[in-house]
Amino acid sequence: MNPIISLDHVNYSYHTSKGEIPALSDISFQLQPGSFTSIVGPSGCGKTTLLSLISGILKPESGSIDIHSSNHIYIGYMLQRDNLFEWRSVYKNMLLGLEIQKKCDKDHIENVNHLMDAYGLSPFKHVRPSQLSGGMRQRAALIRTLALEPDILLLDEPFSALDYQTRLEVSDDIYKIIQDQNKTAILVTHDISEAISMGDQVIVLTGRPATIRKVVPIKLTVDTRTPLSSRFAPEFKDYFNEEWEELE
Amino acid sequence: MSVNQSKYIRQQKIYKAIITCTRFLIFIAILILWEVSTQLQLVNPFIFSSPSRIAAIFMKMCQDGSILHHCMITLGETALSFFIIIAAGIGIAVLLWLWKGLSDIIEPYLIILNSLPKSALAPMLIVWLGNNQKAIIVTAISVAIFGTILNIYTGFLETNKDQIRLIRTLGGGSMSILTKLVLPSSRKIIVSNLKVNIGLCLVGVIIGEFLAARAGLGYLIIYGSQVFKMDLVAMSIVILCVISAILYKIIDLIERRT
Ligand SMILES: Nc1ncnc2c1ncn2[C@@H]1O[C@H](COP(=O)(O)OP(=O)(O)OP(=O)(O)O)[C@@H](O)[C@H]1O
Ligand SMILES: [Mg+2]
Repeated sequence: MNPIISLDHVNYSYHTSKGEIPALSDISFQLQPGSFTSIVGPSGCGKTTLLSLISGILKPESGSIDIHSSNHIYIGYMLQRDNLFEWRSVYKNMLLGLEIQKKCDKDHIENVNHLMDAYGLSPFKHVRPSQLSGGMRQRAALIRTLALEPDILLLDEPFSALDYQTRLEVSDDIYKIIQDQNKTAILVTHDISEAISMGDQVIVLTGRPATIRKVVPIKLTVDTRTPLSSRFAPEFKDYFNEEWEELE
Repeated sequence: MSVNQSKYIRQQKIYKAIITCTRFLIFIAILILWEVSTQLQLVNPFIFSSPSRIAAIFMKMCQDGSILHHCMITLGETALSFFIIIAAGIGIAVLLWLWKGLSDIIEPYLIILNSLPKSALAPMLIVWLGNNQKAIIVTAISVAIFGTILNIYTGFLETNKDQIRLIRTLGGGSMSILTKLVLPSSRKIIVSNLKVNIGLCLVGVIIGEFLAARAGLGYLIIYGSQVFKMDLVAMSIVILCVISAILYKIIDLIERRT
């Protein structure tokens, strides 16, 4: 199969008046359509920078990022914080991307309504974001991203602010959507077990400036793979130990 | 409601009532003191005026309608300059935000103009623009506009960087950032700015009327002091107090609604 996106010797540094901060060094990898890739790395190593480059809001200093598709591809990007706007209702927040891209047509709105029902957010449609629990906020932010029907989904530690229970629930939700709609996804996290439980492959990064230390394909023997069931697979512990050592 | 809760509520009510009564009593006491001391000739009523003399001249000017005329002139000038300041202030702040180079260049000028005592410009503006209402309105605008631009622009700059990133991930450019994020998130700052400005506009209009008017409360004050009609001066000041209180209250209501 041909990759949907490929990174080729990508480098990136931040420039400030105090000096240069190299963030990424010589990053190359490819993503197959429909694959789920987890990226783990120590904090501050450049994970968010990598996603910003892939999404296109930053441009690589050298190297290239290519998207292989005959038609236009939208890359959805879920930031580390939900950034819901308090002056908008939850529903209006979910429509923000559609408003910006002027896509508030019937099909798109219906899609949002459907997602809202599926995630149990309908009762909270008209309330302010501050009245939602952490898990619900994260779901609202996800719907805001999915409303634009992205082909590739970038997730930047979307669960880090949630308690353990909610975290498992929300990651199950997100995983299911991604599988059902056969989307290509990248999940950034510093939690190794989360990376293994969701990814088809795990890319381990070094400290800043991030380079690729190792790419680990994940093969788990489970009947139906969900983030939760993956954690009970016999191979899970071995992968965990392998990556733990890489990050040490 | 529990016994303790209703006790608490009752105490709060009593406290509020005492505060209101005390305020009112102080007002009455000042009026009585003022009136009695002028009646007894302890102070000269010709210089200090008195509540009864103020009431008398007010009644007289109500009957011939002249007081309404002067009030409307001052109010009209204040309202017009107020709206111009808001529109221009927001407009210029938006331009500065869209065009960082421009704001970096003119920032020191804005800061100097803003720290200048505003009344210093008024005589020059009147020489330039003539002895008319236009000069009064421009004076009022010059009093508040620089502070407004700086305040609102600073508010714009405080927009959350991560939220700007969010708009960019959703495919938006500067215009989306401005309309979906910067303006709505600065609403509080803009409204609290209105509160400061309504007072400043009134100051500017009165300064302008001192120098260039043939009508308005500022004119009445300066005219009254020149011809030694202190009753007229005192009455105009009382009316100004009432007007500024009302204007402030209106903005306060708007602020609560947002
Ligand atoms: N706008 C910027 N200007 C200068 N330096 C920056 C900027 N953004 C990030 N950096 C620096 O670049 C490095 C990588 O940042 P990045 O946010 O990509 O790391 P991260 O792996 O996502 O970190 P975290 O685990 O905290 O989310 C950090 O050391 C950070 O201090
Ligand atoms: Mg990060």
